[in-house]
Formats: sequence, structure tokens, C-alpha cells
Amino acid sequence: MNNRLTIKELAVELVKSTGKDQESVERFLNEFITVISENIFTDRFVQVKGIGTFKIIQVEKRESIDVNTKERIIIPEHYKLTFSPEKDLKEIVNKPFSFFESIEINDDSDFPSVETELEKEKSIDEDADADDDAESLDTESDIVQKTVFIPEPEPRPVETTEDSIEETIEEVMIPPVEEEKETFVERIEPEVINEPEKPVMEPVIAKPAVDEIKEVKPEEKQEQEQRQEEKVVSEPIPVMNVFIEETFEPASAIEEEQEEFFNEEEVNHLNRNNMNEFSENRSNRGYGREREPEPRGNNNNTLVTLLLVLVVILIVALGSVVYIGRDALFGGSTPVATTTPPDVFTLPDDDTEDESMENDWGIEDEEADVIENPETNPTSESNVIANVQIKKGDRLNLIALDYYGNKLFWVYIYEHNKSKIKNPNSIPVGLELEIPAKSVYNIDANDQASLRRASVLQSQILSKYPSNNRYNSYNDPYGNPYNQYNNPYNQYNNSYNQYSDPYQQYSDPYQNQYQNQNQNQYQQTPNYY
Amino acid sequence: MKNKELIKELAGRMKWTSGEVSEMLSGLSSAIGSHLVERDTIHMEELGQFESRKKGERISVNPTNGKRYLVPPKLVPVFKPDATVKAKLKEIGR
Repeated sequence: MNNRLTIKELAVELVKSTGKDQESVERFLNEFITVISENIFTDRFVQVKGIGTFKIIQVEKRESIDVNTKERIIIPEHYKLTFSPEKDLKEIVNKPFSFFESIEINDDSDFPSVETELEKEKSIDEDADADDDAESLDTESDIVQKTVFIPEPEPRPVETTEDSIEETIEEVMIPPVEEEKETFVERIEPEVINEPEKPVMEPVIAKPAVDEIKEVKPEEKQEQEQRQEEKVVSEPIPVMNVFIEETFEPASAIEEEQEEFFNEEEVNHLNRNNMNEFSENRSNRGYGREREPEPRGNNNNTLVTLLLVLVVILIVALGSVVYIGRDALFGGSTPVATTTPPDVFTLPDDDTEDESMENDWGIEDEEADVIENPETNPTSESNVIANVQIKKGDRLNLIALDYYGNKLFWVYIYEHNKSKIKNPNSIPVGLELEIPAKSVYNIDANDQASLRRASVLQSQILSKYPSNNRYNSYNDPYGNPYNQYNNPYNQYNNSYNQYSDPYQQYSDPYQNQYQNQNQNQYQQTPNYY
Repeated sequence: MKNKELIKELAGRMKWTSGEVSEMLSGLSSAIGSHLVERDTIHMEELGQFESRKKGERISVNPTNGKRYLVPPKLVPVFKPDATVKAKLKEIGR
């Protein structure tokens, strides 16, 4: 720390690292210096690999003012020695600060919006107040209205609601850390991820259809089976499957939100709860069944095609679901609602199954549990590529850089370990984190879309967990925008001196784990540490 | 003088192979780097000294879209030529 090293001390270290004897190393360094200082004057430039380039450049004569006498003087042309460090050396020297990235500064007008975003998220997370309910209802009715005004019942709604369906599907696929991710993630568009209210809205649309679903519930079981065997994709059948899957995912992923949402709403309270349970049960079963036959990773192709087919069906189906739901929603006379279920689900044994529905429920419940437990555990394990124990000085984004090749992807490490990490800005030392496989979150450092998704997620997370300085300063009543920005790094300026120890820790992971091709700047110089 | 020439020259003077020289140079560069990162200065007589300087954070503006960015602080390696070198530099001008 702030030592002044001479050649002799440097030589001692080189003896350790190269294995030469002290004397020859010292001689080498002296020769090195003389060669440089001689050649710098003959060649005007000396390039030393790993260190940098020394150059003698000419400085043109220029006018200046003497500081003392205030007279104009002319500084004659002269020469100066410049040194431009090589990239490698720069990076090594800057390692303590390497985790920083440039931050875009919003204008003054943008600060409030950040705060409101924060508030919004809080309110959704903690309790869905009346405002939020109203909002979501508004958006919901907007969408439903869209479909309602269209005269043609069957085909049209599908088209018009396609957008909203797409969105909901995409969303639905995001939260769970499950197998489906791998295949579905391709479809995800980053913009959609952010919208907090959408998931709430989705079950609302579905709600009105609950009654019909209950009635026809038993058939679907068989339908599913049939579908798997025959793959006869007649419209009515998938309606149920699809509907279930959709409602299931948000139900589990944003459980809290939904539950609260449901509690708030008094009308149809029972119905909804039933639906919630129901859809969970159903879909658990459905997933279990679908996943069972496939040996992990092997027939991905068939799975993909199957899922693609499912998605197409899903879009069609949700259209009709919305269509069905429309009537119930608007409380209009329900000729369609009453007629559709029989039409839609025309399958063999209606009579007996309808009555024994209640029994099925109980059985399914248990089935679902049994199936799910063995299924989910192995998936989560196979999706973990490494376990990392947090050391002093570790940072999520540095870990992400190690494993994924880009700092942005720390968000996925965080997502994966959400249960353990209370605040991504301060993680207790010694905590063991699981590093999810790239495929789980579709991580690709070369893919712009993937990066964008991560950065969207990052801003989402960061707004939830304001880093100590950056957001506190938003409350600064004096409102000098620049003052605020002096803060973020101040902690590092002050505590900078502490860094000398932690770096030593950084050096290990770089050497051992830098497998990523994109970030091979440290690989090129393996002798560094 | 390019790196190859430097290695050749040093190898000739030391009577080492160029492999040994380049190995020594890479050892040297990593030693310099690891000291600079700890804010040590490395003094080489009759040449100058290497040190690291901290550049403070700053706000830069992208001229095309006018967006402002907060650029983080960084440590940069710098080299300060020795007095003898400076004296020689003056001589060149004459």
C-alpha cells in the first residue's frame, strides 16, 4: 500500500515468479531499462508487451501567459515522453473498480417517475389497494370490450385478443423456474416482463368462465389423455387444457398478489377461490403427465413441437374463453354461455362423470402432490451449474461475469436465489448461492435480446431494492441533480483503502473460472496471478 | 522499437533465449500490475516511475442523443519520466 518499490524489490518478486536467480533478474531489469531509455531516443517509441508503449512526441510551440508576471510568453516547441498503458495492464489496475458501469442519468423530470414506479411496485407487492383494483379492472374491461364489440363470435375474438393473449402467455411463462422455460422463453419479449398489472388482469378475464369449467371438468381428464394419444386437435378440447395452464402459472407465481386480489374482491369470491384451486390442481396434474414421459433433454424436439402446437391452440382457445367469459362478465343474457359448454365439450360420458366430480377433486389433489414432488426436485438441481459461497468483496455482477460473460445477468442469479437473498445490494458473507444454468433463463451474452431482458429485469429489481445511496438522495430537497450523483461511488472512494485485501480474492475466480470466450481478456495472460 | 525487437535486443544482451526474455517480461508486467493495483509506485532509476492514479467519477454527455451518463471512477496506470530522461528530452529539441 503506497510503497515505493525499487528495482531490487521488484526483482525479488520476479525471482519468485520466474525461478531465475536474483542476480540475473536484477541484471535483466537494468538491461531492460537501458534498452528502453536508449531506444526511446533513437526510435522515438518503444513497445513493451503487457506494459504499454513509451513514445516521444513533439509539442508544438504555443502562446501562454506567465502566471507570475501576466506577460504573454511563447512556450517553445519541445518533446515529451508519453506512456500509454496496454489494455491488459489497464484492466488489472482498474480491477477494484471494474464492477462499475456507466449509469445513465435521467433528467430532473424523470426522478418523480422513478419514485412512482417504486411506489407502484410496493403497493402491488404489499397490498392491492382500491386504486390498483380499479386500474386492473379498467384494463381488463378495455380488453374485454375490444372483443365484445365484434359481432362474429368464434374466429374474430381470437384475432383481436391475440395481442393480449400473447402478452399473458409470455408473462405466464416467465415466473416459474421449470422445464417449460427452456422451450418457451424464446417467445418472451422483454417489454412485457415489466408490466406489473398484467398477471392480475389475466385471471380476471378467466374468472367468469369458472362455472362452465366446473360443469365440464371431468371430461377434460379424458380429453387430455385422448389428446396425447391421438393428437386430434379439435377445438373444444384444448380450450380446457389451455385455460388451465394459463391460470395455473400466474396462480403459483404471483400467488400473493392474486390471493390478495381475491380477498379484496367480494363478489364471486367463492367462485374465484374455487377456480384458483381448481386450476392449480388441474394443471399440476396436466404438467405432471406431460413431463413424465420425456427423458430430460433428449426429445426436446418433440416437446418443442408439442408445446408449439399447444401455444397455437392456446391462442385460439383463450379467444374463445374470453368470448365465453364476455357474457358472464357483462352480466348480459347468457344464451351463448349456456349453449357453448355442451357444444364445446362434446365427448362421451357426460352423465356419470358430472356427478362424481366432487370425488375426482380429492383424488386429483393427492395425485398432483405426488407427481409434483419428484418432478420438480430433479429439475431444479439439474439447472444448477455451480454453487458459489459468497466471500468478502464478492458481487453478484462479478459472479455473473464469471459464469455468464456479462454483469447484467446477475439478475438471474438473484432470481434463482430469491429465497435466500433478502436484498441484492447486501448479501451476507458465507451465503451459498446456486448458479442457474444458462438455459434456464436463456442467458446468452451475445444475444442482444437476452441482454435487454436482463437489463429490464435489473431496473425492476433495483427499483425494488434501491441501492443505499442512489435512491436515498432522491429525497434531497435541494434538488441539485449533480449532487445526488456524487453519491453512488462515494462509498467506494472512502472505503477504497480496504480494497487491498479483497482483490486477492478476486484473483482466484478469474483464473479458474474464466471459461467464457467473450471475456477472455484475462485468459490471454494466464501468468498474471 | 517493437516488442519483438525489444525481446531480441534483451536476449542478446542477457544471452538468454527469447522465450526466457518474454517470460520474464510477462512476469514483470504482472508484477507491475499487481503493485499498481495496490497503489504502490514502482521506481525505475534513469527511466521513471510507474504509479496508478484514480480518476474520479464524471458526467459525460453523449453528443448525438444528449443523454448524460455518470462515468464511474477508475484507476489508471501512469508513467512519470525520470529527471534524466527529461533532461535528455530537452536536448533533442536543440
